[in-house]
Parts: sequence; C-alpha cells; structure tokens
Amino acid sequence: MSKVILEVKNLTKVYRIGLIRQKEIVAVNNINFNVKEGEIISLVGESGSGKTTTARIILRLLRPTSGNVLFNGKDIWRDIRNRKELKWYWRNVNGVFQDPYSSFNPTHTIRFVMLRKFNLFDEEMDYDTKISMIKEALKEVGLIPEEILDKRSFELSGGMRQRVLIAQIFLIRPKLVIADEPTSMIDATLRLSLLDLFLKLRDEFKTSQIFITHDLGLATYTSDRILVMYKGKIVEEGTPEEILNKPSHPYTKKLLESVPKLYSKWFT
Amino acid sequence: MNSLAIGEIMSILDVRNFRAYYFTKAGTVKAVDGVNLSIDKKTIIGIVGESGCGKSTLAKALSFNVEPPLKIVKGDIVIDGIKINDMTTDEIRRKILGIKVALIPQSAMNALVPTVKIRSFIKDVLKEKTGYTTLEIFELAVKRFKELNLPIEALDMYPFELSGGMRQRVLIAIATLLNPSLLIADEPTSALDVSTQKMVLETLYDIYRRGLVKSIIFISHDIATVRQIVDEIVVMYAGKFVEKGSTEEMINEPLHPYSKGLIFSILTPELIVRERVRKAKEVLLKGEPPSLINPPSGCRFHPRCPYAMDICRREEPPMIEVERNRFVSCWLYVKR
Amino acid sequence: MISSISSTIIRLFRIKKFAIGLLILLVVLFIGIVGPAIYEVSPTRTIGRRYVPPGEKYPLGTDALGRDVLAQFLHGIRGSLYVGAIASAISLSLAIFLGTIAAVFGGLVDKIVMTLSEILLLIPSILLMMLLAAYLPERSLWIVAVVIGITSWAGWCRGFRSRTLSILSSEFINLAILSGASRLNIIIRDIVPIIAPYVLAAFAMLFSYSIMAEVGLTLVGVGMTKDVTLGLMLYVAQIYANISQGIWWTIVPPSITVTLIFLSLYMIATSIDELFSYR
Repeated sequence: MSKVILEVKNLTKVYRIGLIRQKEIVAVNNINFNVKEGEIISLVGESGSGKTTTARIILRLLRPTSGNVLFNGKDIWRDIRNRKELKWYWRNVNGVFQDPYSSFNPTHTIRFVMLRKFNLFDEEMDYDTKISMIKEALKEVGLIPEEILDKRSFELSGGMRQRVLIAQIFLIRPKLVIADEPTSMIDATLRLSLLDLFLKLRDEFKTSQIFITHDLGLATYTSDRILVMYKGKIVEEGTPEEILNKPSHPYTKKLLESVPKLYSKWFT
Repeated sequence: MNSLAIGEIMSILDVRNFRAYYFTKAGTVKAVDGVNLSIDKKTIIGIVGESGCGKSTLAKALSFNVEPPLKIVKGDIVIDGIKINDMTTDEIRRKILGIKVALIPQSAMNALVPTVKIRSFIKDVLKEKTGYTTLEIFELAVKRFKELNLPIEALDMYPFELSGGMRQRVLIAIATLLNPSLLIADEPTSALDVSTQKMVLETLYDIYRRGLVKSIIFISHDIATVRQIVDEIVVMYAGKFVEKGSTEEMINEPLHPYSKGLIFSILTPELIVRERVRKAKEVLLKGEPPSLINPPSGCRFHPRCPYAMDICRREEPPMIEVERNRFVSCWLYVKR
Repeated sequence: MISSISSTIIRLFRIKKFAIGLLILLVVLFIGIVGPAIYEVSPTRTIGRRYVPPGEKYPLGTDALGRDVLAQFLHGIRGSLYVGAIASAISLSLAIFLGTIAAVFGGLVDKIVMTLSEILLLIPSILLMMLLAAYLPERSLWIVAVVIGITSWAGWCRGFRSRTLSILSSEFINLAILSGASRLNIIIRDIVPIIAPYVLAAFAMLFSYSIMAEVGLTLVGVGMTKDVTLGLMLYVAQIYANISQGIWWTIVPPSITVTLIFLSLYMIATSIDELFSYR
C-alpha cells in the first residue's frame, strides 16, 4: 500500500452573503477523503456540489470554515505561514483549471507564463537553464517550443493553451495536481490526448491527481477511485467498477441514469 | 435534378452540392462546402463533428436562417417535393419556415421573445403563417401541449419563468405546431444540465413517434446523446460529409479515419467504453481542424490522417457506397 | 517587455484612425501652445470697430466688442485645452482611485462608492455643474475645470471597478498565485497592463468631454468669467446673435475646433480600445 500524501479531514466551507440579513450557504459540508501517492481520484458532481470549492481549498486559494487539509502530515493553513513554506507547498501541490481562455493574462507571453513558475524553485538557475527546462516541458506535452514561446495566449487554440498549462505541471513536477475540469472546454477528439498527458505524468513522476469533473465518463477513464459529491457532501466512494456496476446512493443512480451511453438506449 | 417533379418519389429532403459560405474580411469561410443529403423515408439523422466543422452552419442554411455574412452559395434544396431555389426570401418565410422546415436552436432563450408570454408568442407566429383565428391557434397549442405532456400553465408564462429544459421543450412544441415535414435540431440539449437533457430528448422523440414531423436532423457534437434517438449518423469534417451509416454500424465500426478518431474518443461511464478507448490509442486524433478559409488540398483530413497517401494530398476522395446504405469518402476504400 | 511595448505602439500607428486622430490633436495642441506666443494681440482689449470682417488688419475680423477674433481664438484653444487637461486629470484620478478601491476592498467601501456614483449618474451632471458654478461668484478657468472634474468621474469609476473586478476574478490571477507571484508582482504584471490602455482611452474621452462641458456651461451662462476659452467665444457670439446676422467669423472657427478636438480624441480613444480589447 502506498503512502497517503493528502488528507482532507472534516472539511467545511460556509459562505455568508448579504450585508445585513446574512444568509449562509454551506458549499462543502464536512467531507473526508485522502489521496495516496501516484493515485488518481475524481470528485464528480454537478455545478453547486462543492467540488470546485474543495479544489480551491486544497490549492490554498480559499480558507476553509473548519476542518483540515494535511499534506505530508502538515496542516496547510496552520503549519504553512511564510512565503518560503507557501512556495514549497505550491511546488508540491499545483493546479490546472477549466477555462483555457481566462487562465492566461492576455498581456503575457507563454515565455513569461512559464518563467514565472520558477518562483517556486529554491535553487538558483541561470536564464538559459530555465529556458531549456521550459522547452523540455513544452515538448513533453506535444508543443513546439520555438513556435509558441513568444506568442500570447490569444494566438493559440484552446487545446494548445490547455497544453501549456499542463506543461507548467511537467515543469515543476508536483506531488499532487488538482485538475479542475481541465478538458470541459476542449473538443472531445482532443480531450483524450490531454487526459493521456495526465496519465503520463503519473507514469513518469508518480504524480497523484485529483480530477474535479461533472463528467462521469471522464472519471471512469482516468481514475482509480471516484468520489461522488452532492450538495457539499461526498455521498459515495468507490472504484469505477464499483460505482458503475452497483451504485448504492440514489443520487449516484440518478446521475448514471441521466448520462447518455453508447451501448444502451433510453427510448426504444 | 429537374426529374424531381411532383408525382415522383416525394423525398422529405433532397440537397445536392450544397454550399454555404461566410463572406468575412479575413476571407471566405467555406463552412459548408458541397454537401449531398437525401432523406426519403421517415428517419432521424444525426450529424456529428467537432466544433468548427460546419454542422451548425448547415443547420442554419437548411432552415434558411441565413443572415450576412453567411450566404447560401450554391446547391439545390428540395423539401417535400418543393424546389426552394426558385423562391424569394419572402416566399420562403411565408410558405416554408415552420410549415415545411423548422429549426430548434441551441438556446431557446434567443428564439423566444423575452418580453412576450408564450401564448402571445405562439399567436404572433401562427397568425402570420396561417389564416387561423386566435381561438383556433390557442386550441391547437393547448391540444399539442397536452399531447406532449407539457404543462398548460407554461402558455401563460414568460420565457424566463421556465426552466432551461422546459423552455427547450416548449420551443420544440411551438416549432412543430404546424407539423413541418422536417425538423432541424441544432445542439438542442448541449446548453442544459445532464439531468434535464433526457426530458428534452424525450419530447423530441415523442414528436417524431407521433408523426408530427416526418424526419428530424439532429446536429450535435455529443455522439452519446445523438445515438439515443437517431437511426443514421453522418460524420462531418471541415465542411464536408465524410461518412454515413446506421447508428449501430457507425458506433461499432467507423470506417473513415476521422470517424474512428471521433467515435473512439467518446468517453461515457461504461466499462466497455473505457476498454475500447484504451485499445484505440492509434486512431486518436492529433492536431486541430483546418481553417475553412483555406482548406487543405485533396482530402481535407489528410494533414491529420495517420494513413495519408499520395493521392490524398492531390485528389478529393469520392463518396462511395461500400455496403448498402453505408457511405464513406476515403481513398482507403476506393477499389482501383 | 520593451520590445512588446514598441511593437504595440507600431501596431497602434498602423491603425489609420489613430494616426489621423493624433495628427489633428497635435495640430490643435501646437496652435494652442505656440499660437498666442507668435500672435501677440490681446484677446480681451477692444482694438477697433465692432464686426470688422476678416481682412488684412484683423486676419479673423473683430467681434461684437471690437476685439481681435484671431487672438481670442488662439487663446481660447489654449484655455480650452487647459480646462480639458485639468478636469480630465481630476476626474480620471478620482475614477481610478475610487473604482479600484471599491473593487479590491468590497463591502462597505464598495457600497459607499457605488451609491455616490449612482447619485452622480442620476443627476444630470450639467445641472450639478450649474449649481456648483452658480455658487461661486468669480469663476476662473481653474474653478470651472475643477467643477467639471469632480462631477464627471462616476461613469468611469464604475468602469474601472468592473474591469478590476473581472481581472481579480480571472483564473489567471489564481494561476499567478500558484506560480508563487507576490501581491505586488500581480498588481504590476497582471492588473496594470490590462488597465493601462483603458486609462488612456478614458483620458481621451474625458478630455473631450471636459472641453465640451466647459462650452456647455459657458453657453448657459455659468461658465468662465475671466479667461478666454472656445466656450466663451461661442457664448459671446450667441448673446449678440451673430448667427442670425451672418457674422460667421466669430462662430465657425471655435465650433470647428471644438468638433475637431472631440473627433480626434474620440478616434484615439476608440482605436486604443479596439487594439487592446483582447478576445
């Protein structure tokens, strides 16, 4: 059994909205799960299920209302305080987001975007070393570095942008990647090759991954374990085989029911 | 094509060498470039392809929702035995739209008028096309809503009061009130949540099963959804059709290298699908669809095709019938 | 970075609209700055008969009070440019400052700024300016400019607020954080470059708006009392009913110039906006 690298314990996030008459929205409601080294899990749920909030908390972009996230035994809010520790955390836990369009500042070149990731490195490196590492990473994801380094994001297609984001992950080689709907805005035909890059990441560097997705098909393809989220709670957990063959929670059943399939028809 | 006079085989739709281009500053976008399609029995046909393959343009052009910079350049359209080419825009609007062909667009919100109740919207639309009185129109609408299990109360609501799925279903009912021969549905479910997609599809299928429309062209990028109701699937790539066959054949045994890439990349929550995708690594598509301003020579798929030969770069492959009702446009299947 | 700035500037100059707009503006600026220094006739002294048509002695004739129209015109351009610069600087600073702090701090600060700007937007600004100006007995160019400045920031303030908000909510801010970028680095490298062209465009629009507003104020009689501006020239021409008398030389030059300034700045602003509005 490989070791656990991330533990999520009793995690809760409550949003308060309104200035005078406050309304509480429980986005994440007391969830628990862990991720092992080299393991790929999926948090599956519809919009509003709390999956994205969970991702943001693990990435340390959002403070939880209560509960803990432990990475290698360290509480990411209590034990990580100064910039150096933060950089260490993001060196080890990083993310890819859904929208390849808003993931890039339109004024930045790909070169700048890639170079920026070196902020996270402890070791001093000269410019040429950095660039050759960047080129290496871009090649790994199937891009031609010379063609895109000095381009800005809007000169690239959606698929290429998403590859650049994945190249950043190849560059820093974190222990854990949170991929928030990384292919939902990409055409189905290009989706698979992107997903295979994530699988390659695991094969080469034993990178653990958390996929945040609404797409049960994608989760089935990539994950070792699927966690179904509904209204802020994890309602079911299991291997793809378990979830597909004998779903136990009514929500999972309903979800599976409503997804169109290739080998069965709704109407006859 | 003059042989298609009234009295002979009444095809529901017959389109020959159909071209629709966008005339933009950057150049002419050949979004639909020489498409042949004929439907001569009651069927639901699915047209599938990546975004930018021209399928939405085809939907617009076939339903005469053509606004500049889009223009129908060439081709004959015969719907229900009526040659559309000879008609003026006004005639098309009065005699064809909603009567012979109807379109369900991706977002019902854009089709309905936000400040008008469904009831008055129906009245406005039908008054123009038919000689019916207001009362007759409402009777027709109520009858149709009941038939399709839609709540009658929806008639007295504004579009924004309806949920996304309901709005789409209501629009389907309105568009088919006059029983058009052909219904064109352009991604009717892709803007909806998974949970409501099924309901919309059910209404669409209901319309067909009850014979309220003769045929449906269902355009979508989502083959798993399409496959739920269609009899035949047509694969479109870079403005052209590349393959056509029955749904089962197309899903299990696509022939064209592009169809293979497209169909074997579908991920649904099924263990068999996971296995078939894992096995199909070599047919995975690389690169991006070409620009339709300046499409590749010969076969438009050749720059991305793992089996590209010399002839593919030079000459456009013909559409050949490999088996009965199984068409493919690829040099690999041309016997010479 | 340097090369990207210069390439942007080159691209900007390739836009015909921008080049023409800038050319017109430069010509007007040149006349306003250099003109009064070369043509040394006082714009406020009576120097001859009233309504002398343009001729050898007075290149643009004289006005109702027998003053030299060319001198007035040259000084008027200068005065109007002053008003434009001062007023737009004031309202732009207010708009940027209030807009961004409203976006960044949110909550109560946001509420206050938004309410204030709503009030300002609801009341027609010309009315507000008239009220303010009417209270001040002596109105110099400066005071009019300040009055225009503090009444015209509201719309742009909301613009800056929403721009900043949309930038802050962009995924790339999160990705910058995940790249270990500091807050200062994010402000300098992410927010400023996106807002900068918008600031330029806003400045151009506010500049022309201020010049027009001054003309408007003066025309309704609560504008400048001391200095010469294009607005004042039109005001004088209007109260002496020059239009109906066919005295064209007091009206045509200032009207054309005001229109040209407005047009040129509009052309500059829209071309900046077009160039930088990334898809």
